[in-house]
Amino acid sequence: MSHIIYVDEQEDSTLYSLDEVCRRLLLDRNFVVLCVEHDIAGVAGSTPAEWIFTTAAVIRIHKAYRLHRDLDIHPESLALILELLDERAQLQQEVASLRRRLSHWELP
Amino acid sequence: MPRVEFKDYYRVMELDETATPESIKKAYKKLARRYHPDVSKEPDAETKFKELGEAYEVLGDPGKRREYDQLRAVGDIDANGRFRPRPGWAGAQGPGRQYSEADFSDFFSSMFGSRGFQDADAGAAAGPRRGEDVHYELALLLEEVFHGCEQVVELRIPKVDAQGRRTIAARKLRIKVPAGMTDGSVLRVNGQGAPGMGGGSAGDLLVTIRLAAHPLYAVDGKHVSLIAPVAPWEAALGCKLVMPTLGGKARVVVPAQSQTGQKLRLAGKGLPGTPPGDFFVVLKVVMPGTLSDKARDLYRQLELEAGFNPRQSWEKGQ
Repeated sequence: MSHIIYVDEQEDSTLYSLDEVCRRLLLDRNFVVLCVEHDIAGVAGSTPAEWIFTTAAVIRIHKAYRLHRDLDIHPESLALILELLDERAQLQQEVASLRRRLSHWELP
Repeated sequence: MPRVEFKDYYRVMELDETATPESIKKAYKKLARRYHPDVSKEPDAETKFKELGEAYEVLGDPGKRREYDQLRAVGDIDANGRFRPRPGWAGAQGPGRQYSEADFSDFFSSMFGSRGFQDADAGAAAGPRRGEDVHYELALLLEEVFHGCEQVVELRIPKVDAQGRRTIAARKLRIKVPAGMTDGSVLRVNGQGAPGMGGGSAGDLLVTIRLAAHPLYAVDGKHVSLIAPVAPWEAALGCKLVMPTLGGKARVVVPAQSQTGQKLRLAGKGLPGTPPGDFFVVLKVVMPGTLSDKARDLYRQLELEAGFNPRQSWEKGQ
């Protein structure tokens, strides 16, 4: 049966090392390194040992992994696909927002 | 054994029972692209993708497909499409497609039990293992985001039952959303994801905030804007407006000779934060619906007095 608990959280600002990302997502280190090398996820730091990942980067790597696993997408194509998906989402949002704004200027 | 709903995997994969292994694979790839939750915009994409994964797990494996075909041919299916699996129905062996998150149906479990699918992570299961993080998208109204709010979220958490089968447990959580969250920002709720295995800690719940469209206000990050209709004489002479901002009423001075589309900024009156967003009043000059004879005369006088050509730029372009 479902139960209700109460939590009070602030906006996430957790940072992860490369090893932590691999452990969290149960991913092979090489896959995560590929994601960084192909700009799928941005990191701070110059060497893998120094890399720092934000939660947004970890979520993006997980999404890249799901697409790779479920649709057999080669890691090298993932960067382009994720970029296009982001662009599509942004454009859809922009269109919706512009339509709403436009409706305020047009006569009923 | 209780009756469970029969799943027509051929129908799910849009195939008939004579489909070749190649056409099954091809159909899976085509439909997976269509329904993958990270790609698809269809409202029930996740459910359809899971159904597809289950169907392919069975039809894509010759042993399981044979078993399924036999059941399909002789199955004890009632008028409502529900069927009773035969006692001792054997679980198929052999490797299948790897799944780590799929929640397979009761129908699938009744046929193949816990051996029905391979857990992608099974090989790494020795020792404590942290549970998966669970992602949730929470749609909120602008007013809720501005003031902060409490929301009950209903989660589907993957877990492993006593028989070692992966199942889904429903859980309700009441979470407190702090004021000023923007669209796409993430809240982390520690330890409320999937339970760990072998003594490992639970994963976290990551809640992504999605802001619902508002009929009046437009939002861009932490900035909020509202269109303020003004009469032609208010735009010409200037005026004072009382604006309904999210935090309450605010006075705005519209300068003389204002234009449609002109923006007036109320610093810090957008969404709260450090720094807070701004509130923009966007002016829109509107005409009265009807004009009296006297008002018409006054406009004629204005026409003569102003000597204004609003289409001067067209002439310059010629």
